[in-house]
Amino acid sequence: MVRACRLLICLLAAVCMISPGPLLAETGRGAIKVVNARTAKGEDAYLLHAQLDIRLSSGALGALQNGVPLVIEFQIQALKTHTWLWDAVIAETRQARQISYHALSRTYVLRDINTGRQQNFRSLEDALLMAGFLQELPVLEYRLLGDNKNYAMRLRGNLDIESLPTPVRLLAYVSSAWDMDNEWHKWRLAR
Amino acid sequence: MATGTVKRLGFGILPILAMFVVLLVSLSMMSDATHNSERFGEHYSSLLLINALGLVVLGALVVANIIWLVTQQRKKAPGIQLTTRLVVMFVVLAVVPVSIVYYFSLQFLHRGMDSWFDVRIEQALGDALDLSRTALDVRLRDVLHLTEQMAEELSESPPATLSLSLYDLRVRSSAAEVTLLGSDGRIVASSSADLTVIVPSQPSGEMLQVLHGGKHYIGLDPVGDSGLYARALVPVQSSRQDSEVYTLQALFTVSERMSQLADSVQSAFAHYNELAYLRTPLKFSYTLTLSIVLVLSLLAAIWTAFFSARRLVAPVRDLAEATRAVAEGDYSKRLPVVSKDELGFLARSFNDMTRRLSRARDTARKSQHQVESQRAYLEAVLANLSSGVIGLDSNLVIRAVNSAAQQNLGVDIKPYLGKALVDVGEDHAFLVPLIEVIANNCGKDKQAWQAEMSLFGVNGRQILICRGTSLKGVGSRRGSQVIVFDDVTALIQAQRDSAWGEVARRLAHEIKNPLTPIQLSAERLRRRYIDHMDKDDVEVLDRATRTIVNQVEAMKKMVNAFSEYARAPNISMEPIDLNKLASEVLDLYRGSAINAAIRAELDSVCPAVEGDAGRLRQLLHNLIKNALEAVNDRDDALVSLTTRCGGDADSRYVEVCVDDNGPGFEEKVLENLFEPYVSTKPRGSGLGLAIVKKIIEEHGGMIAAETSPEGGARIRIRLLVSRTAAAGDTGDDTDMNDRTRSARDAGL
Repeated sequence: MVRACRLLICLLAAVCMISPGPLLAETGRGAIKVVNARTAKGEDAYLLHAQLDIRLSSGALGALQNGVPLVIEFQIQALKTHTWLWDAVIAETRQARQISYHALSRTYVLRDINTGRQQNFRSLEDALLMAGFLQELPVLEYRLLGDNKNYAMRLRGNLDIESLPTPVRLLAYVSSAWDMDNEWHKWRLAR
Repeated sequence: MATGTVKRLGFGILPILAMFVVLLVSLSMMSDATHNSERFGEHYSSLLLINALGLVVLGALVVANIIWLVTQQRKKAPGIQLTTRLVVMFVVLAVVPVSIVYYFSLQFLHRGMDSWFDVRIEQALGDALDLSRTALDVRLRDVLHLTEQMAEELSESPPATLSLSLYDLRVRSSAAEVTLLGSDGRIVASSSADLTVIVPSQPSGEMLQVLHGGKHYIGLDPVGDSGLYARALVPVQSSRQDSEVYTLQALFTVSERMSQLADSVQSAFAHYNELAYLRTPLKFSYTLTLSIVLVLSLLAAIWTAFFSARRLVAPVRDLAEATRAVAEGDYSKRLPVVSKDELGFLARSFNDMTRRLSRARDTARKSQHQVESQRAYLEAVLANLSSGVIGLDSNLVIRAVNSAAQQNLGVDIKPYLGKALVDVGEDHAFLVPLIEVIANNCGKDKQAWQAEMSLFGVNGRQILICRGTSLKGVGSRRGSQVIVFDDVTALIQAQRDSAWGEVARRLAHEIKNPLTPIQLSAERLRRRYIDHMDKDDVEVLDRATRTIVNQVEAMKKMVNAFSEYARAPNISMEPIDLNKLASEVLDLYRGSAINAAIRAELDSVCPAVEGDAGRLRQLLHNLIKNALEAVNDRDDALVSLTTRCGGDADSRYVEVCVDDNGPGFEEKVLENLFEPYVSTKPRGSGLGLAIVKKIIEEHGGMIAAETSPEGGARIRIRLLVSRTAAAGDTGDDTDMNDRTRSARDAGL
């Protein structure tokens, strides 16, 4: 849905009489890369330990500094792998963390949307570092696994454009200043 | 059916109206969502997608209409010019005002949004924020000082009583939460005013980094919806040498009033800042929404223009198509009468007109069919008629002819259809008498006429009964002529043969039968009484009985001769060389004791004729005998026999003339010369020339008698040349035509 919207909006912007040229021309590509990720066995489920390097694009950074909260969403999938067929998703977990700037206290507020836990940081780097830190996150219950040993996990993070204010959403879809690379990071599930 | 469904969906007004309404609602929701409203904000992208899809559908419809228009233009479909003009007019009427409104709306929008933002407001909000920070800084300094005092007190406390000391310090200092952290960041002891808090708030790494530099940390922490907290981190220096260096974290609430004011300033500043940041994206969003509205309106207007133009032009197009169909002869075309306006009246009138035309055409077809049936019937009748029929127009041009005409005349008239009747005469001279009779009678404006004539043509001598009927002309013009002619040659011959045969049978029955008893009775009278009578009576009786017997014998001969005349002989037709036959017959007479000179002028190139040798020999005998008897008492008696070839390609004949220098024929005798028992001789039987004529008729020839200019009698006969001889003989047509004309002039 989001991709379809993005495609159509790109098309519309191309034919639109009023071209947002200056906005589209901005550069500063962001990225959310998985630095390391591993799964460890917990009591009832596998626990995820991961560190993601979050670099905001110029568009996202500008929005954040102007008071627009950003939501970083982490998508974790457990896969049953096949040699000749596509992998099947057997479990999926999403984690969302919101970063906002509190002007009065000059702090960046990091809030875990899933747990409601909030942390304040003087610097954005610390806030992003903590935002990309996932620790002991239950991602796959043992009961979902069969005898097959061909299981894998994959993780990626992305900026949730749909959580942005409506006027920015359009730009975020269209403008390259909002582009953020987010590739899947995949690893075999050790049993 | 699928095409019909697509057409209904594509061009029907209701689906398009429904889609237009949906798009309008969607646009309204999108416009609302642009304000970042909670109602539609989260559906903004979906609404945008719906509108985009709607625009694509509308655009596709418009493109389909344009393609249809271009295709119809190329096909030069009826009414397409009018449709194009209406579409262009509607589009121009819609595009111009909408574009103007769009331009000015855009201008107002941009200027209106720019007017929202003021540098002074921005400055005031910044100043308010600084003011709040300054005010809070005082509180933060107090908090830091208080925390330092608490740290000093704690440094004196033994480790076992740290928790109690913390509680005591928190209560005394009115802190919200007090926590003692180890050097590795672990929680050593904690006390919180909120009893629900199990895990105390932990300082971040960067806060602890500040402490590692030997400094104290003091800062404001926004904590969820609980307002602001002042967080202070101070190291606790224990007096014991081996003791661990702890860190005291104290959280103090900001006063409620100050917190509210600070939150208000923060939120106003944040909102304004966000709004200022969103100014450009907002402009873009509004412009996009407005542009979508514009495009939607334009596409809808263009589609409506197509729809309206088609609806308006449809009756005219139907009328044009129907008119074209009528022009091509299709009168079954009916226009749908869907309205009661002028176009409806026009459609009704057109339908009436085509209905009448159709009825008239059906009537005309029926009439034509009847005429054709009658014509076919007439042609069938004419074709099966034994009478020849020729149709002539008022200028005597041949318009119709039946096959019996060819059979009767021996000439194919059909090639002369459309040509003047005289042209037939030019090619077939023997038909000239017939053509003259027709021309003479047609020129007299007679309603009906009848004539009998004799032709000597391909079939020999023919007697035709020709009847003419004048058809009614138009106005002063003369009408056409229908000429019907019958070949009555065979009929007349048969009638004559039948009549004479009946006479012969009667003669044989009524006369010949009593003759024998009469003769026997006379001879018996003579034998019985001649010996008993005296000499005078014997002489009388002898003379009387002899007279009776002689007369009976004469009568028998006469009856036999007549029977011979009436009997229909068996004729065996074969090519006969008339010159040779004439020479043989003349040779018989040259050797006899006659006192007449016999002269023969035989045409050496005479072809053979079709005939029976015996009958023709008898014919020549009779003619020569008659001629000799006519000149018997003359000293310079002369009988001559001449042969020559004449006629045209259609009817070549050999003419035989027998002349004598006798007294010739009296005028009154000529009329019945060839009838039986007509004779100019005192002792003639009266059957000689009748038999001659009979033989000529049997051969399809002609015979004529006349008194020659020199005074003698002349008998001329003509016999058709044998077909095989005619085919091998080219002859001189011009000469033959001349000869034929001479023969006609001679009264043949």
